[in-house]
Amino acid sequence: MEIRTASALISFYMQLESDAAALFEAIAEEPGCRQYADQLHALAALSLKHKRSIARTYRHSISDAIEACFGIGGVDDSAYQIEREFPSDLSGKALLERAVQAQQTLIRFCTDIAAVSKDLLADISQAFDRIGKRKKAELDALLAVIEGEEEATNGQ
Amino acid sequence: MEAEILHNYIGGEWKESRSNQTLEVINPATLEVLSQVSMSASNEADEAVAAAKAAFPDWRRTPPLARSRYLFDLREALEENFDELSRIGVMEHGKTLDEMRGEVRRGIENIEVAAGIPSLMMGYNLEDVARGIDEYVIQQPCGVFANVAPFNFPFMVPLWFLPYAIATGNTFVVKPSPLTPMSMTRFLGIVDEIGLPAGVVNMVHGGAETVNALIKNPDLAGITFVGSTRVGRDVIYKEGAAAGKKVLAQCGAKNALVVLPDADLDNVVPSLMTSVYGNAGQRCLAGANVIVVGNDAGFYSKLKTMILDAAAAIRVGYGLDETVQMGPLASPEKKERVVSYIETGVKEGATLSLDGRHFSLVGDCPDDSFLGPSVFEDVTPQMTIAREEIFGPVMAIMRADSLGQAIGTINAGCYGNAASLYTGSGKAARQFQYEVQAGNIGINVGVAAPMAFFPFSGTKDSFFGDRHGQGRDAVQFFTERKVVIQRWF
Repeated sequence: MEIRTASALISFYMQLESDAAALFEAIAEEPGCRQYADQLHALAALSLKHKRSIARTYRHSISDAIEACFGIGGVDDSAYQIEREFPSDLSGKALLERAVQAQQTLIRFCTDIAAVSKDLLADISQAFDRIGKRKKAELDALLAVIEGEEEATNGQ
Repeated sequence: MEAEILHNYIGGEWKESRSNQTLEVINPATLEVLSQVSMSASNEADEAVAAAKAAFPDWRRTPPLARSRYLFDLREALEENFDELSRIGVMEHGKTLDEMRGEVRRGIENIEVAAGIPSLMMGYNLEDVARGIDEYVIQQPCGVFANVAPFNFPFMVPLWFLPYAIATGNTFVVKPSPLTPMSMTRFLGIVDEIGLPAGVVNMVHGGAETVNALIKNPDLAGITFVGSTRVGRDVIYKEGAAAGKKVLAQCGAKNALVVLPDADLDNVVPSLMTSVYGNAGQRCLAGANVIVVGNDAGFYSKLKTMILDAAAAIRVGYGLDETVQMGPLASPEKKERVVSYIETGVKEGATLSLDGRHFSLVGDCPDDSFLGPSVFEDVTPQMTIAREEIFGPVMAIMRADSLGQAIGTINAGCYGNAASLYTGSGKAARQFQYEVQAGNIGINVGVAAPMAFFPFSGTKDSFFGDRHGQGRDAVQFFTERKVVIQRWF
C-alpha cells in the first residue's frame, strides 16, 4: 500500500524497527552466530533507540505547519519488508546475511523517506536522514567484525 | 445503555447540570453516539463566573512563577495523555489522526509559551521623569474571562487564551461547542488531576443561552470567541463591548492562495491540498480560492492537471485509519451546507472539474457526513463560491493577469484572515506581504498558522477587538496597564 500520511509512515517505520530488533535478538541466540551476539544485541538496542528518536521528532513537529497528510508521495510499503521468522536449519552465514539485509532495508527506507518528504516535512525528513546515516555506520561496524572473524578463521 | 452525560466543572467540582436538556455528541464518521452534553441554563453560567470570581483574589496574589509551575505540570500531564486526547478529538470531530495530534501539539505549545509569564508580564520603568520622581508601568490581571469555543478545533482554540489568562493571574470559564465538547471535558479532567486551585478554570456546557448569560454577567471582565463573523461581530463584539467588556473575536474567512508562474509546483500542490482539504476545509486558515497569475496556458494546464490528480487521489475515510488523508465534515448538516454551495457554484456557471459529491469512501462507514474533494474552475470574484465562506473541501480556481490584480481581488473581499503566495521571487513576496489585507500571511506556506509565541492575527470581518490570541498579544489582552508616578519626601 502507498504510504501517504505522516501517521502511517511513523507506524510503518516503528513496525520495521521492531521486526528488525526481534530478528537481531533471535539471530544472536543461534549457535552459528554466538560470536556476534554482542554486536547483534547492540543493533537491537539501537533499533529501539532510533524508534524513540523518530517518535519524539514526529510528536514534537506534528502540526498544521507541515503537510502531514499530503506531503509524502510514492512510498510503497511492500518495497520494505523484514521477516522476523527464519527456518531452523539456516547456517550461521545465512543468518548473518538476513541480519545484514534487515539493516540494509531500514537504511534504504530511511534514505528514501528523507528524500521524498524533504521540504514539506523537514524535521521528519532530517530525522530519517540522520538515522539512515547512523544505521549505515552500525552496519559497517558489524560487517567489519564479520570480516575480521573470517580473516582470523581463514588464517588458522 | 444511555451515553454518558458530560458534566460542568465549576469551583473544582464536577456538577451535573440542572437543565434536563441534552444534545447527543455524535461521531460524524460512524454516527455512533459518543456522549451527551447538557445545555446548561443561564444561572449555571453565572455560577461558573461566580466560582471564578471567588478564586480570583487568591490566584492573582499567587506569584507568577508559582502560577507558571502549574502550567509546567499541566504540560507534562497533557504529554502523558497526548494519544488519548488525539483519539477523542478524531472521534468527536472527524479530523485525521495527524490533524488531531497537530492540534494537541499546538495547544500544548501555548501552555509552554504562557509558562514564560514571569518575563512576559514584566512592566517597565524610568527614573527621574522629573527630578526625584520615578514612573513605572505594572501589568495587572483584570478578573474573570471566558472563551466561547468553536467546533472545529475544540482542544486547541481555548488554549489560545486560557493559559495566558490564568498565567497572568485571571480566572477563567470555558464554554465548549456542543458539537465537540469531549476534548475540553477531558482537558478539564486533567486540570483537575494536577490540582489547579478550585475555581481558577471552570467549564460550562451549553448553547446560545449560556453564551448570552456570560456576555451579560457583570462580573465577567472579558470574553474571547472564535467562530462565525455573524455571531462574533453582532453578538459577542457588539453586545460584549456595550456591556463594558474586553472582547476578542476571531471570525470567518475566505483565504486566497496565489500561485505565480515561478512557483515550485512539486511542493506547491501538496501544500494546496493541505490548505484546502486539511480538516476537510473546516478551518479559518483553510485556503479556498486558488488564484493562478499570468496568461501562460501551459503553466495553468500543468498546475490544473496536478491539482486534479492530487485531489482525486485523496483517501477519504474515518480519521482513526492512519492511511486516511481527509475525514468527514463534522456533521451531516455541515455536509449538506457544503453540498448546497457546490450546487450554487454550478448554477452560477463555474466549471465543476472534480465533484466531491461522488467519491470513494475508504472503509465501511456510512457516508452521511462525508464528501470528497471538489474543484471548481472558471470562477469569478463575483460568484457566491468565491465570496462566501464554505467551510468545506471545495477549491475555487480563479485567474489573474498580474500579482497586483490578484492582490486587488483579495482586498476587495470582506474578510482578512489569511493569504498565501507561492513564488521563488523575494520581490513578489515583499509586494504581497506589504499590500495584501490579511492578518496571517504565508509565503510558500499554505496554512499560515502562527506559532504560539506570535499573535493569531486577522483583520476586517475576520477579527473584532484590538488584541489577538496567543503570545504577547494575549498577555496584553488579559491585563491592564497601571501607571505609577512616585515621589518620596
